[in-house]
Formats: sequence, structure tokens, C-alpha cells
Amino acid sequence: MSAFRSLVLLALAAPLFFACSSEPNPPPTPEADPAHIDPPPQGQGFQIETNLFEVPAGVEKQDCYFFKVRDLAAANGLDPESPVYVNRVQIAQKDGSHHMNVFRVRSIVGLDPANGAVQEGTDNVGECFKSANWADWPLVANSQIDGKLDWSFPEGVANEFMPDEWLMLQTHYVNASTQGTPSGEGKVNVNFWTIPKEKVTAQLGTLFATKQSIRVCASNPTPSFDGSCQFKSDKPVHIIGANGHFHSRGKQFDMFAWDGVSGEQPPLDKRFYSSQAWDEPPMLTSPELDLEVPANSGVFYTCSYQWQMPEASLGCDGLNALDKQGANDCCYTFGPIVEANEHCNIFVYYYPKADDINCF
Amino acid sequence: MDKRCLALALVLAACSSPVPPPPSEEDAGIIIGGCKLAYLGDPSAEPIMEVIALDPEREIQPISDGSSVSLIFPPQGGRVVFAGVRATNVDPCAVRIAGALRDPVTKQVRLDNRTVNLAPTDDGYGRSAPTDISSFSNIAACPNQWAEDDLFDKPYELTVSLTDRDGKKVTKIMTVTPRCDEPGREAECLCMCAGDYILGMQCDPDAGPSDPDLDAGADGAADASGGSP
Repeated sequence: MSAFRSLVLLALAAPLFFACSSEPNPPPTPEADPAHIDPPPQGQGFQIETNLFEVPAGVEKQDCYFFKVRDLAAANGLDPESPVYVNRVQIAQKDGSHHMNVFRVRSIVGLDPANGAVQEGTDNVGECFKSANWADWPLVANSQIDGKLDWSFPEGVANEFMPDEWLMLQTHYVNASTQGTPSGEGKVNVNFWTIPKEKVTAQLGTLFATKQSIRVCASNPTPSFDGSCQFKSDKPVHIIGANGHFHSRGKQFDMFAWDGVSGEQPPLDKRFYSSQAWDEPPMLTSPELDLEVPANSGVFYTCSYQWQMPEASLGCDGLNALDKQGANDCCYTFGPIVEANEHCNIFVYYYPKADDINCF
Repeated sequence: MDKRCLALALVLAACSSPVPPPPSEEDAGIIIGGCKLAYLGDPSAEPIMEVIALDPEREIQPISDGSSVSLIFPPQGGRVVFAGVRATNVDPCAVRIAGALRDPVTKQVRLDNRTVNLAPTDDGYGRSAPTDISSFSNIAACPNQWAEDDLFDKPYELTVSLTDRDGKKVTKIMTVTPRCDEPGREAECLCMCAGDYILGMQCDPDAGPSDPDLDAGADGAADASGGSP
């Protein structure tokens, strides 16, 4: 059928098609809004949120929001001069979120809370897109799933935040061909519920690892990459949260409990995380995930890919233009843009904390 | 959806394009279809492999027992040992390179394994290409949150393995000494590769390590709240 005839039929059928749809929807009630969650009552925690922002078709938005713990405590009935201890995290986002990460701010490179509470990025432009800016910022919380996450840590386990610490919430929305934002709008709310210090029996630690020198190329179409990261704890620890992150060329993402000394991939019975879903990867949390691993152990992870022809709008010319090596091999290289780049990141939560760990 | 809508949906579906054609064999001058590199050397011979590494000038250096290896600043930050191979009598396509740096005292290890194509050279060998850091095992050594001692100027054990698609495998293990010898980046390297490094510790590129502001926390230094602007 010619394109013209298709268009004519579509034009004729359009009124009928729209007649099938329901009446225009009223604005969502707070209960129906997937990004809505009630904040904790005064004295029991605090909520951090983004603005409601547009994500036009064909656009990737990545914005960074900064919050000072002292200010959050003071505004929510907590002692602004004392540490806060977070035992429960709730995350609610409008559909279309690619990821949402919260980090503790550490070394300042190009992303500085002094430059504003909100620092926006669009289509890989802006400091909020440059991962080297938060290379040594410990992970606090993350989500890659649609809908709401509500995770209570085991009793007595809490993440400690000092009054002078800054937190950075990074939200990434994609409205492109491989991932969409149905409403054209993004919004994130995160609740941190606290417990009194005297109820804390163990601190939560986090482990974040990333492989950045990765390439998925036409001439090497099925590569895989393995990495490792230790907890550096002289005591056994409990892994109670895990998720992995790659893009649409990603086919298999696995994490294994690892003894910290073996150079080979651990046996399958040590695998505690497996994902084939790049756009909605499993988020494992306690109590379903509560894996005790020995002292001085860590996590072994592997990311496997299948090269694909890029979207027609991008083409190999587009990928080649983004390839800093100029290899002319139609390669997907490390980066945040879903259509053009790849990732291999792990997010792991554990207790008792030895330190927050970054491996990159 | 009622029957009227279902019928319309079927009509509209019939108007859409058929299943898209398979990818062309050529796109923008690139031959699609995987690795086309010729076999290196003699398929019936035992594989030969030498370990190489990138130096601060991004030049290839042969590595053997007792060599120094450079701790290089990679794009993502931190410090990496770029450990690669030069080999013959192997299939150069989809070679598995496994690199590991081991603390000789604790036996703890940092590793990076990856699938690469070896770049052929005129002498019948193929190698990790000096212009392509992804063709080297990127062993993320620093920030040092895994070794007990400093990661520089001390002996560590380096293991590099190559496995080709036919299962040919060769492994070399040697003692090397990592060095913070990248011009202009030594101080930061000495800071983040130190045995007492803590994540988030401010490593001034022009000075040695300096502790972040520490608030008294339940587990002391691990609760560093540094970085507050």
C-alpha cells in the first residue's frame, strides 16, 4: 500500500479512532499520580523532590538536585545539629524514568552545589551528564523501575547522614524510540524515614561499580565485560539490595558473591542477581535478598552485549561521530544516551558498613 | 476495546509496513557481520603471548617479571593499569583477555576481563591497540579500597590470560611494581592509591592527601562528610 493511500485511510479513520478513546482525562489525583507519596510526618524523616519538568519527544533530560542534610532536618522536625539515621526509603516517579540516583557529595570537580540547587542537563550537555563529576560520591539510593519502591531496611540497620553533608538527587528521563516518557513530564519524590540513634544496631553501606572503557562494535558484536569490587570488611556482611544497569544492547547482567581472591567467575550457585531486562531491571531488596558473605569478600559482575544496527535516525554515521577513537566501526561506547551509548554499572547495598565503596 | 475499535486496529495494522528488511551488509562503509580478521600465525602451533602495558605517554611497554607498570588516569577518574597482550598462533577475533592485580600479602585481587579483537601487526602478531584502551584489561587499582598497603612502589602480582575462540589459552603471572609516574598527576595518584585512602577524601592534584572534614560518627572515619562546599 502506498504511503499516500495509508495517509488517506488514516485521515478517514482518525475520527473513528478517537471516538474509541475515553473522554479527556482530568488531572490525576494525588493518589493516581505515580510520583506522589505523602512525606513522612514531622520528626520521622524528610522528603526530597524534583520539579515537575518537561521531557519532550526525542529528548533525554538529566538533572541534578542538591539538598543539605541540616536544612532537611530543620524543616522536618529533626535536630539539625545531629546525624540522621535512615531506615526506610520510598521512591516514586512518573513513568519514563531511566534512572534515579542519590549520592553523597564529595570531591567537587565540575558539579558544585554552590552553583545552584538545580543543575539541568539535556541530551548529554551539562555537568549533570559528566560521570567524572561524581566519581567518588558514595551511593545512597537508586531506582530504575517504574512505579514505586518502598524498602525498609532490616530492623536496626540505618544509613547515617551528617548535618553538613550534601545529597545529590540525579534524575534521568528518556523520551526516545527505545524508551519513552508517556506523559512528556518527569517528576521524582523520595522519602527518607528515620529512626532514633539509639535504635541503630548497624549502619548501611553501599557499593557502586562501573565499567567505562566498554565498546560494543560491529566487528566485535558479542562482547562481555567482567569486574570485581570488594567490601573490604573484616567481618561477614549481608547483601540486602542489588540492581544492575545497562542499555538496550545489553543481554545478560549477572552478579555473584565472590571470595575476593579468585580470578575466575564464581560458579552459578553463587549468582544472586540476574537480569535480561535493560529497561526494567530487577531491583532486589531485603527481605527477599539477604545474602551473608564472608569477611574480605565482594561482588563479581559481568555484562554481556549483542551489537545491533543503530536506529535509522542515528545510523552508524551518528555512532561513529560520537566515537572519540574514530574507529569507524559503528561502536556503542560508554555514556548516558540510551540510543547511542552503553553502560555496565552495579548498585549494591549491604550491612554492617565498613565503608562506602566505589570501583571504577 | 469494543469490536469496532478492534476492527479499526486491524485495518490500521494492515496499512503499516511489513516486517522491516534485515540489516544491510554495509552501512556507511562498514561491513556488518562481525570480525573478518585473518588468523594470526599457525593454527596448529601453541599460542605465544607477551604481556604489554600502556605507559604514561600511552606507548606500549613489554612487561615481564620485575617490571614497573604505570597507574594511568583513565577517562572515568581513578587510576588503572592497562594490561594487554601481544600474541600469535591465535584467532584474533573475540579474544578473551583477563587481567588481575593481586595484593601479595592479603591475596585480594582486582580484575577486569573483556572480549576484544587483536589488532594485527606486520610481524604476524596481533595486540591490544595503543589507541584503544578498551582493548586492554582495565584493572581499576585506585581509589585504593582493597589493598592493605600503598598501591605504588610495592610489589604486586600481575596475571594476564588470553583465551581465543577455539579455546587456546595462555596465562602469565609476574611480579610488577605499580608507579604513580604520570607527569602532572603524581600527587593525586599518591593520594588515592595510598593504603589509608577513604572514599571521598579530597585528593588535591597539587598536594598529598588531606582528610575531609570529619564529623564524629558511629564508626569514625568511615562517616566522613567531606566535600561540603
